Amino acid sequence: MTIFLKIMAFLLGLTVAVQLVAALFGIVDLRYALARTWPRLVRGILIWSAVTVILAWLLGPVYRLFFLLGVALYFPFYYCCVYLGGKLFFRRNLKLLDRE
Amino acid sequence: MGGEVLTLGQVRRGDVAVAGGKGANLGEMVAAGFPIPPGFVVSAQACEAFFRHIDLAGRIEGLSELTADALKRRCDEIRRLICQADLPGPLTEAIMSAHADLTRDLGPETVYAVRSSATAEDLGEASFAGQHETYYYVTPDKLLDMVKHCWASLWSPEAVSYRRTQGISHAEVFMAVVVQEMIRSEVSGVTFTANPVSGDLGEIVTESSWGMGAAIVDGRVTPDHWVVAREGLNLKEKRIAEKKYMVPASLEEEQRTRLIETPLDLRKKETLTLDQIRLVSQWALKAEDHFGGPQDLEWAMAQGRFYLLQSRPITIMGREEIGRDLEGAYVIFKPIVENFTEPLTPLTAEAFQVAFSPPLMRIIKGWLYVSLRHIRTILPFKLTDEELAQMLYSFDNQPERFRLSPAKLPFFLAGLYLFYLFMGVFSARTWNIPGDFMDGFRRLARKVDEDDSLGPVEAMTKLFLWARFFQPVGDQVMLVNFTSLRYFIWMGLLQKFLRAWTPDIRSDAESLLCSGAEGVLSAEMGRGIWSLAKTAGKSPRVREILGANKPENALAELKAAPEAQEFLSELDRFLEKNGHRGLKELEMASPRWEENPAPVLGMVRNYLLVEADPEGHEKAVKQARRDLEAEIKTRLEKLPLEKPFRPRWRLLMSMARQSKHFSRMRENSRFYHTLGFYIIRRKVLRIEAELMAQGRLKCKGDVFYLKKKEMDRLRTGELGWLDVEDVIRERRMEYIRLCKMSPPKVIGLKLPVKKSEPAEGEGETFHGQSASPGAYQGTAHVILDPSTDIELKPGEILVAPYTDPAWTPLFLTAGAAVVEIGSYLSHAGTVAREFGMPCVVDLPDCTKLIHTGDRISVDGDHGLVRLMRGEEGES
Repeated sequence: MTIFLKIMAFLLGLTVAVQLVAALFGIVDLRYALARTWPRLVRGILIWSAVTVILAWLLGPVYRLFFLLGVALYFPFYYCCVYLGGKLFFRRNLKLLDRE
Repeated sequence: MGGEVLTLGQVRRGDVAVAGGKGANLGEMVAAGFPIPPGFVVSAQACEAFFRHIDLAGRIEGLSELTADALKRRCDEIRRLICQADLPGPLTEAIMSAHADLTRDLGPETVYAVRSSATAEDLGEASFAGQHETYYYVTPDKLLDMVKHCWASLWSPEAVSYRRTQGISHAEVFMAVVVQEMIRSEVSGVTFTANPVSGDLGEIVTESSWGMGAAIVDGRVTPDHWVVAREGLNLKEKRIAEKKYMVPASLEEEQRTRLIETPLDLRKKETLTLDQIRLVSQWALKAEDHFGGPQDLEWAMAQGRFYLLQSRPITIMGREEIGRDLEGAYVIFKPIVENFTEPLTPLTAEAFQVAFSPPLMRIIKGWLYVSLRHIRTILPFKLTDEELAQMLYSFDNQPERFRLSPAKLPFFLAGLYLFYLFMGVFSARTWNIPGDFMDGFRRLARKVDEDDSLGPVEAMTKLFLWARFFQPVGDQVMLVNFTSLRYFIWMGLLQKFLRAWTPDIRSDAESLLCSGAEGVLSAEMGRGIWSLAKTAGKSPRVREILGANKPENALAELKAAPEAQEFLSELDRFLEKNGHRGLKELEMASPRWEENPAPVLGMVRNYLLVEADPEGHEKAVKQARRDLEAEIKTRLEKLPLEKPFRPRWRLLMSMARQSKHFSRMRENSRFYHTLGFYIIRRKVLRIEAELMAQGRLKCKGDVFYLKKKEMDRLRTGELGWLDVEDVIRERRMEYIRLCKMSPPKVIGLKLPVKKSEPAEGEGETFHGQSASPGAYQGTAHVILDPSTDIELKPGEILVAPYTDPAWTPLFLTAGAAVVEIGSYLSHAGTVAREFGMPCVVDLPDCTKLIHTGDRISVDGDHGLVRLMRGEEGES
């Protein structure tokens, strides 16, 4: 049961990190209109940071590590998916095209 | 005349070993009394003697064992040797004597077509299409050289490789050469003794255009189209095309391109009279009779005389032939085909192939298909191929019940979670974001356009595929488009709750609640055109110019008129923002408004003609929305706890807001997709201009029939015009043939056709998909091209193959719309809902099943169209 809950805590960490990363990306996405959108930008970052901290605190010492591991590992996972994954996908398609 | 040179009259069908396949065929037709242009054949024996004379045998030894590079070098050597050697004296004399005989009859200014006619054409199944050369406009001084060039084309690396794979000995293949008068035709064309698209043997199809036939044969002009019944030769169908280009009867010395613009007075003029069509059809039937099977004829008319240029067995490819050689089952990818039903040109198809992952998505004959096998491995349901195909084709076609596959479920859920981890960030980034967040894409597009170091592929990468990690989400329009599919979830929820709480509310309530989103760029574009029409309407002179001229000619007239300056300034501002748009805008070969604003002027003219009032219409829709909201509010108040807190009302409005947000996101991402595609098109056009300047391409638009690799090799000089000419022509012809059929919905399986048996006294009922609710009865008007057919009377029902922004003005006067292909979110559905008219989409072949003048009833609630027989329909 503990292992199952640890896995769940890890997955919860990944899931929360999705929203946290998205909130942080707001800086990039909304920079063209920061003057009018900064309150919601700040609000998004604060809310999801707070959710992360509160969940980590609520989960207690046994599961906290796995939760935070989920949050921390999501960043490299996402980088690989978006940047390296996209690059590989594109190269593969071009190679297929050249082979025809 | 010796045995090395023969007149066409001396040759018969069995003389392939002497005159080659083409020469023997022509000789046979001369003997049968067909009006073939005069000419002679330089026999294969002359070729054999010449090859002996230059000692070719020694050079072709071991040719089959060479590597590709060595083969190319050797072939170059052989061709050079053939072209540079002098012909033996007696042969030169024989050719020149045959030519003198021809000239005596025809006159010294005659030019000739010099055609290869290989003896290997009778060897079993071998097809040498496109490997051997033909030369046109050959003047007498070039005649001997061109004969040698034809012989040399036996030794291109492609021809040698082909013979090698077919097991044909190089030493046994010789080439006869046909020299024929080039008819300086006023009109030319092709005739099929069976419909090449439908395979109907009862129809004779003729296509004709001005000038020489090359423009039709190469598919470079849209010809006039005539269909006559085999029995009685009565005209069944006539379509007069706007023939913008023609191939002139003579070619100027320095002329780089073959095509010239057709004089204005001829463009829309019928090229044939009914008598001439019958004459052509009679000759076609005679040819069919003579050769014993359906024929495809090339012909020409000069000074009132008919000439038969070629007759060969017809290639009929019906829709059912497409993808027959493929394994597996496929369903068409609807989001592309609902924008235009024609196939993609080869270059565009390749671009799509890079963007969409093969083998999950696959281009088949220019249309994008989804592989059912690959989708099946992902989904955790037990579905038949038919159920899966129906479901993928349209979300409306859900199976009656989903049977779960327990073994696949864990993998599916794991996959779904991984998908969330990947796409969740994008989804969250576009949630509740300001409507203008994609405006920065325009800047990115400009930057990519100005960067000359980026070719078309690199541009596509930058604009669509390969995002920088810290790229704003507004610059990643393809992913934004994907995340906007959440529209369906919100719309579905809205529909479910609204129907549960207010069961008998009007049938279009959800659409009306979700209409009127601000900041939809395509709607703003529509308003821009309306604003242009208002400006045009203010000036009688502008109004007159637009009304009296075809859109193509109106611009020049407007530029010359001082009264039109205000209109032109507004047009410039409009094009600055929307110039990347056009007809069939996902197709790279399609010209955009910035390059040719005629379609915009056509739309302005349409607005002026129909005298519609889109602003009044928008106001009416706004008022209807307000009334509906008030009605819903009142009805909800009868439910418990609604009055004090309005929870249901708030929930419904929130769902409608989300639906509008994602609908706008989808529309706007599409607006920017088309901008991205335009940038790639501009890059391709620059390459085309460069290749045309170098003489490696001869005609505008040909570049889109190449593949990327071929385009690259043309740029490096590895390939030349002669290497790609035939390939381009073949692909263009296939493209044209495919354009005439609508794409098969599925490949590798059969779907049941939904068609109701008519009840007594009723007409047939056709099942489509509902795209806009409501019911309407009226007279059908089939329109195939909005740029040429614009007269839709108020209240008529528009029946169209597909629609895009160019069709929008027609919706102003239409009572309802029926479209061959489309979905709820396609252009037709979106506009029909905005205009509050019923619309049925996805009704295959509706432009053929329904005829202009038919009375029909359109049931937008259930996606039904009924042909009414003997009924006086009322709106």
